[in-house]
Amino acid sequence: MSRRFDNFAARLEGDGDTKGDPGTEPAAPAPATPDEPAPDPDTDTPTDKDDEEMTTETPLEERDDYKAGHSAGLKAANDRMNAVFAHENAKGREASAAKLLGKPNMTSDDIIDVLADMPAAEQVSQEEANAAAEEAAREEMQKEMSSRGNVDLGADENKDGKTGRAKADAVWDKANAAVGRVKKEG
Amino acid sequence: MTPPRAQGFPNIAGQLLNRPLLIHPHKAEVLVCALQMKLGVISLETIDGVTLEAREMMARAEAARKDALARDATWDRDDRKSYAMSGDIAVIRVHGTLVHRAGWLDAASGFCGYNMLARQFEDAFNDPDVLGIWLDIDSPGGAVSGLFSLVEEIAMGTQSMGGKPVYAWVNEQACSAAYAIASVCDKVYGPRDAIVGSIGCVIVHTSIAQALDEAGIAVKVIRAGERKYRGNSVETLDEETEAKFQASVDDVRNRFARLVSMGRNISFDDAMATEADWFEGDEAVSRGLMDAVLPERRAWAMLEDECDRIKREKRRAAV
Repeated sequence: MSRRFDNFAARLEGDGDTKGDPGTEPAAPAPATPDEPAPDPDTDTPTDKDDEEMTTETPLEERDDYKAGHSAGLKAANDRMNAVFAHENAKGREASAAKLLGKPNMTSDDIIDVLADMPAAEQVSQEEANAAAEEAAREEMQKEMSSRGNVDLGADENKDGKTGRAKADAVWDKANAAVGRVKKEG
Repeated sequence: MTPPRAQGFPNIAGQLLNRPLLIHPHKAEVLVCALQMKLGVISLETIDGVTLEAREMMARAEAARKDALARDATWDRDDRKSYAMSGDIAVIRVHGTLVHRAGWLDAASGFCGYNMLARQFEDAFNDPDVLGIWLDIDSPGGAVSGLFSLVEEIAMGTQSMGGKPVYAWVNEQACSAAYAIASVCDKVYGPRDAIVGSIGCVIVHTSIAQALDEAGIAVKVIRAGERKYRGNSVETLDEETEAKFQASVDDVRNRFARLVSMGRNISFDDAMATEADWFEGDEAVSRGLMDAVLPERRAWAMLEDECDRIKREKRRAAV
């Protein structure tokens, strides 16, 4: 692909492909930069073609150029989204990726680059997740049991003046003390 | 070792008088004012029909001098760079009348030398601290000598040729030779009142032969070689010399138009069709001579964004 000033000296002297110069071929358009800004609508110059199109009665949704533009825009958005989510930088950062995709001025490369600097969630398998959930539930149940103590099995007192519940609790208190647990009050 | 440089008023006068110029006509008046004492100009009739006497001419020259001194204060002396730095961006100013070699007059008289600009660009292109270059232009143009080699150096260092992004900010005039410089930049932005263009060339020949004749002073030029000392001011301009001058300005204009065609991606015919006129803001954009009419801070932000993108790419490449 030819660049803007390739063959500079020859083109300056009229021996090259300066666009429109008599006896020469048209030059290739200047390469756009990756983040080429969109043309400023304030500086767009209306052409005769624009005026012509404004006077037609065809609804916008039925116009071929609108359909083509819509399809192209949709494809570009999908490609951008796919490029981001397919990249390894998006793994574990899906929520951030989705949020950054909402920024229309960021290209897929920009988003991937930003994601690289963000902390990723720890990757765990389904089995690991299930085991962790069971362990958490087990621990919660034990904690609840140790805080509540045993049911009061009878109102009558024994010889030492303690109820059946108080005696059972005393056993648990010893067990809890042995493993370093402190019984909740109340 | 660099060759010795011609400096001073004789050098400047030699570059400006009876030579092809790419300059806005009104600025030519200021030049004459600045050189008034040295050239012995008693009065000057401006394009607007106003006759300036010595005092008014000196006032105009003083205004130009103050402007040039203000520009000189913007060099980044602390970092020993030949341009001011702002973040990752080197700021190079193209202010005043452009001449091939300005020497010490660069700072003191409103001239801006192509040799100095070439050095600044070379430094900036090679400076690892510089990711982008902001060209602040307020110039009516100047001499042809040295221009095309400078613009070639700039063109080859631009982002479009694999170099650094060079954005021209028209603040608020980039005419003739100054526009030639702007046209090779990656982007050309300016405010609504920006003036660009004047894609043409001019030689101003003055003859005092008739005045000498009326004063009873006879001048005889003794020449060895028929073409020796043709185009001087004490003889009436002969047809052959006039044709030669015309061919010279035509050639420069054609090269200028080809340069703009390359730099701005417009056709050679469109560049020639401007007929060396100058254009403001929106019309300049519609003719492809500028990219957009923007506030300065927005244009600057676009260059900053471009520099950020380059930094990201460098980081990625390093990984």
